[in-house]
Amino acid sequence: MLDENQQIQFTRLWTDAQPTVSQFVASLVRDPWAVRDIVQNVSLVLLRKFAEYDESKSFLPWALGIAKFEILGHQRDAARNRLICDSLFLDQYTQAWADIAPRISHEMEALRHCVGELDGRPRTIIKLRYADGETSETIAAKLNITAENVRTILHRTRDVLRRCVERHVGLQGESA
Amino acid sequence: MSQPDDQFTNDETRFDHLMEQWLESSIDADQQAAILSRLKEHPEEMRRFVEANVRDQMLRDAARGLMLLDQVSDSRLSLRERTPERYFRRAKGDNQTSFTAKRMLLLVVSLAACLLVALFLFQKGERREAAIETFVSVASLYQTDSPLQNGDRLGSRTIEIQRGFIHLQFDDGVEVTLQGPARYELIGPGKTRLHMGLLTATVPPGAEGFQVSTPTADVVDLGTAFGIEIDTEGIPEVTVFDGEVEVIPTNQQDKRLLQEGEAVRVNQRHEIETSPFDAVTFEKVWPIASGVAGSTGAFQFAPHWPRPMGLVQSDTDIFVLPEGYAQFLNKPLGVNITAPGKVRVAAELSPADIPAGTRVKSFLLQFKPLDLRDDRATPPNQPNPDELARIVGEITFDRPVLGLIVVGDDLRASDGLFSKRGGQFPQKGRALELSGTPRDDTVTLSENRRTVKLDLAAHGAFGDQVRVIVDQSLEN
Repeated sequence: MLDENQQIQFTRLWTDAQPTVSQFVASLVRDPWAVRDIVQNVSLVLLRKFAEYDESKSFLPWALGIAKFEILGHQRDAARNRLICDSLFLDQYTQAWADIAPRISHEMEALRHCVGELDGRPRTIIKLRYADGETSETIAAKLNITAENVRTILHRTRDVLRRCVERHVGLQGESA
Repeated sequence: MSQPDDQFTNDETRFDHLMEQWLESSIDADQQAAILSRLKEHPEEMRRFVEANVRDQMLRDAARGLMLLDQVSDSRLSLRERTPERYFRRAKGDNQTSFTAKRMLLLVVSLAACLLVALFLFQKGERREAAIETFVSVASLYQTDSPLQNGDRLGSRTIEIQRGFIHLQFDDGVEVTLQGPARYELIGPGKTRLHMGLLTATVPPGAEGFQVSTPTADVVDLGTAFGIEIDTEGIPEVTVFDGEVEVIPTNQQDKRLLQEGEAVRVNQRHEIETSPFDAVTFEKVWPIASGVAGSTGAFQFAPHWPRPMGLVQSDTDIFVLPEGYAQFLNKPLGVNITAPGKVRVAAELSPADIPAGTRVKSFLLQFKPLDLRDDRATPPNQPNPDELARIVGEITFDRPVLGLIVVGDDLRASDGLFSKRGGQFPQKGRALELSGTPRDDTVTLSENRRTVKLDLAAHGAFGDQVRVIVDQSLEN
């Protein structure tokens, strides 16, 4: 049983790590309900094992490691099992995620702002692709354009967003 | 110098293309294998792949925020349109709005928007089904990895199974059975999408218009039973077992009306191609799609569609024939066995009427050994004891059995209601022999009313039939 200080510390660490862990799980498991279940299990396992946590090490890689095992245990995503079930791949993927995600997570606020500035068809396509999880084919059918057109618009819009984020992050850096 | 087996070294574009397919979940098994082996051997590509995934997830979060903003904005517009003050102004033809009324309106709209945002934030991460209208029940599950349970109520959501079967019942009577691996999205009442896998749908009268979208075509039911299988390339094959469906490619350039016994594929160029009708693909789905939870012994499932109601003969099998759609009885239906227990003699029957208005489905269980007589056109007057064949089996339904019909007159009387040919070809000698001798039949209804055990004796032209009336009420 954790004492009060440990509970406070766990809450703080998990609150920081949870968005990254959720994104990590969602990148490998498509079903949003399964993602929710897995992340919930991860938080419970972390809580149970928190007494074993080595404070000298970063919390995120530990949480991602637990998430990796929960994903392996879940194995419900038929379409992606080939990757998920390959333990070597999953090890490398998890390690890279633990390294890369914290380095670019500060771009999130700028990205939200830049996405909010999109207008017209790019705004519609970004919502269909990333919020609704539609494929280029189904977006094309809805908008009565070709799937290739959708991919081109997505590619250009991501470039626009990247430049916008770089500009905003740069501005933040200058004002800091 | 590049290695011959290194298909990506000089082809970054192809790797990017595969990565894009992975990110939008349209990658197939071969492509996954290719990208997997590439990533494991090239750490720099792995880092690029992971970074693309991290950015993809960040963009998803941002896009969901954008969608929320747009929803709030729509709600504000909608609230403005519905404000009585605005109605009042329109009615009077007055284009001037008072400053106070405008401020009040803004205040109300702002509060409503804040409330919407607060509600969303509170509900994020929680089970959203409670807040979402439900329109589907899980009727049964069989050998599946799904966390769903019998009787679960579902609203808009995606169901994904890797193996086994799920039988769903929509509130309007439509029944859909999924065979794993499959990914099926419930969009709303009467509107669904099959992303991958195989399903059958049975759409009773009154529920026409039920739609299953696929990657390349929409399938709209016009009162029917049909099956869809999506292959590994994402191409759907639509097979019609009964009635009609309309197949409309997603580019809306063409459409085709399909009749019973026809099948088509809609390729990635949205062209409709005729396929050979092959109901065998759906063979494993039939029992659970019909409401049969399991069977042991001699039971053999006869295909739903097209229904071979002619001479279904076998020395080794009791055939199960689902008899059409679930239906509401328009008058009381007389049945012969309603009480759990074993029936060996006619005196043990427990006859009753199932009330009019009850929603039921019928199954005909038939044991009819091969008739090897030279003159089969002339039925014998009496059974020949030397030709006697015995058979035993148990069948379990996913809903309670309301009654069994085993008496000849009552079988004939109910033919018109359940048999596809409306009983126009009367069959002789099909009632159970319930005299209690070793050469007679016995039938047992289990205590939970879901399992029927038959121990039958039959010979030649004299087969045995049992009509099972199963509760199909829409309430769970």
